[in-house]
Amino acid sequence: MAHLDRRDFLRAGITAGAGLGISLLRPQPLAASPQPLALSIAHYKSSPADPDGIAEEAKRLTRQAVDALGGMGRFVSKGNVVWIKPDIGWDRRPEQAATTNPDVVATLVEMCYQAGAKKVLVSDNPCNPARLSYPRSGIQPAAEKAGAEVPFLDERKFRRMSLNGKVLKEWEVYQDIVEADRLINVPIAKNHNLCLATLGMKNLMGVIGGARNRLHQDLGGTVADLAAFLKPRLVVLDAIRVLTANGPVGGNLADVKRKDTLVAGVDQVAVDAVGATLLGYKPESIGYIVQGNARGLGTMEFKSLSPRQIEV
Amino acid sequence: MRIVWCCLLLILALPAILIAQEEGGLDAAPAVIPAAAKARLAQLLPDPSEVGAARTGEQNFYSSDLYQYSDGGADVYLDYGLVAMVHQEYKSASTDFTLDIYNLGTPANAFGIYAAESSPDYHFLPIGAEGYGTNEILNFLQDEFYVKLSAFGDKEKTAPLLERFALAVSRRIGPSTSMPAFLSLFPSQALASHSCRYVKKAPLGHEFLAPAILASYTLGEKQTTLVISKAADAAGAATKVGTLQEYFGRSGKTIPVPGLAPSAFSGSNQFEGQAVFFAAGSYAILCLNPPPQAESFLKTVKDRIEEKGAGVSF
Repeated sequence: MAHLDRRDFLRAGITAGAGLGISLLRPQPLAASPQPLALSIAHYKSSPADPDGIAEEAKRLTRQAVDALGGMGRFVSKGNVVWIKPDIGWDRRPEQAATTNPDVVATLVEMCYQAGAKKVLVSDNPCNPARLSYPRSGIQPAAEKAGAEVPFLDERKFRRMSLNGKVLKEWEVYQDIVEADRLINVPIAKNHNLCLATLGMKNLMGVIGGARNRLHQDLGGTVADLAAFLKPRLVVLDAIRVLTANGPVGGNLADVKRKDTLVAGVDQVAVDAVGATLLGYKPESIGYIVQGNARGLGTMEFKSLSPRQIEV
Repeated sequence: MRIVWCCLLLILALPAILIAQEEGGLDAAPAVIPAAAKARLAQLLPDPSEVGAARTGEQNFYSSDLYQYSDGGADVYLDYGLVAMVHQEYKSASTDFTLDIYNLGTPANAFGIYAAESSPDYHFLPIGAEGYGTNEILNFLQDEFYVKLSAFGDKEKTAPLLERFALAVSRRIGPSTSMPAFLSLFPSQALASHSCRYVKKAPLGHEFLAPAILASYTLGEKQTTLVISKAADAAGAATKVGTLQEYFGRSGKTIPVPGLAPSAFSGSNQFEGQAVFFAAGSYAILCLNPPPQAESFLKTVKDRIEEKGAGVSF
């Protein structure tokens, strides 16, 4: 090391001190306000086979995915009535992946209460009898244990509402869901033999009544209309187990694949676009994703949102 | 006079009622189920003594209103000609069962939906013409019926219970355990297991090829798809081959293959890749991704169809 005499030391010190002083005096640019994150994708590193392991996976993925967006407090305020809308459509067990993972739903219920919700309801307008699908899916017991009310929908509470959509002008929508302070949409990613995949926006068909089969004439348009009307505050897509064939009903475990992923977001089109890719489809091949994108409900170019990718 | 006024009011109100029924949210007129079909389905429901489980709840019948039971899952059944379906639940001390029996009108239609819902990697069972199952579901095909069973209970014990249930239904359907006759049109050598399909709408995206049966062959390293499309007669088959020639000509090129058949062509495009197509009697044959020695394979196909095709329908 070269000998550093006192003069060199002083010279170096003065130079450094001058530089520091100049930098402190120079006006600092204002830090840009960070945009709140619109999308998070949480993936579990392992793929546990036992029920307790899968339950733990579901809980951790749910918390981490929502926390990455800023926590449930971003979506739920003190005193809110929150309606959580999972897929409870079918008389199927959780492992058959036709209904939302019950531990994802239960964790969301807990998070809502922790954020100050006054009441949390969990419900769906199922295709199979609710008295079968609610308990068999595991959602009713799990959500009730977490403190939610899990009502069967009352036929008398479907009200004709003006959706003013491009396809749906009016339709029967469940009044209590519309009147809730917050709507959290919690679909499961599934193959659907009519529209290729059922994801978040398609899951919203569970808040309407009437002759839903008529909507199949233009499923892309009607689902986009519903999404535009309901605009859930948060979408949490369960892709821990996904149904890859014979959806939406499923039944055969051979059609179920593990993706061990949970997607959370405020952009319902982007969430569905991620879900489509997890199922092996291009987002542009699914009509309601294309329509939602075209109408400005969100973006199917989900990477443009710089999603937070989390390995759990 | 009062009656006249009432009738007049009804006539005036009728359009409004009909329009209201067409609006979203109001139930349409209930589906009409032929009485004979309903009776036959009811007859197929096993007695509790046969299956060790009691019936619970009502029998529910569906036809064009199947969406009320299976929503978006209903359309494919309606496409395959659903006549009617019965839903019945059963309960034993340990297990809840759901039994759905679909009458598709013909063995071909029943095969069509059965094959559409099954996959070569399923666990197949010798029930009816054929079935597949897990610990929680057992579905099988027999004549014009497609039977779907679910069981919810101790997963270690449900498989034999499902099989017992399925056999009880199968006995009530009858003794026949044969697959549809049209499957005999496919040469068996190198036929990929459980790859046969019956498609009523737009096979491979081409509506003019409907109805058609399809199968995959593994010949060497190639996966070949064989499409046998039914026409009304030889002229109809020639028309279909002409349409294929136009299609491949538009999107690629075609070359005659006179050694195979007078109307035979080979074609290629960026969508389907390589293809060979020709008419054999009242059938149009399309072979995608033909194997090596394609002419030899396709001559076997042609001979088989000319031998068996006349007695087969779908």
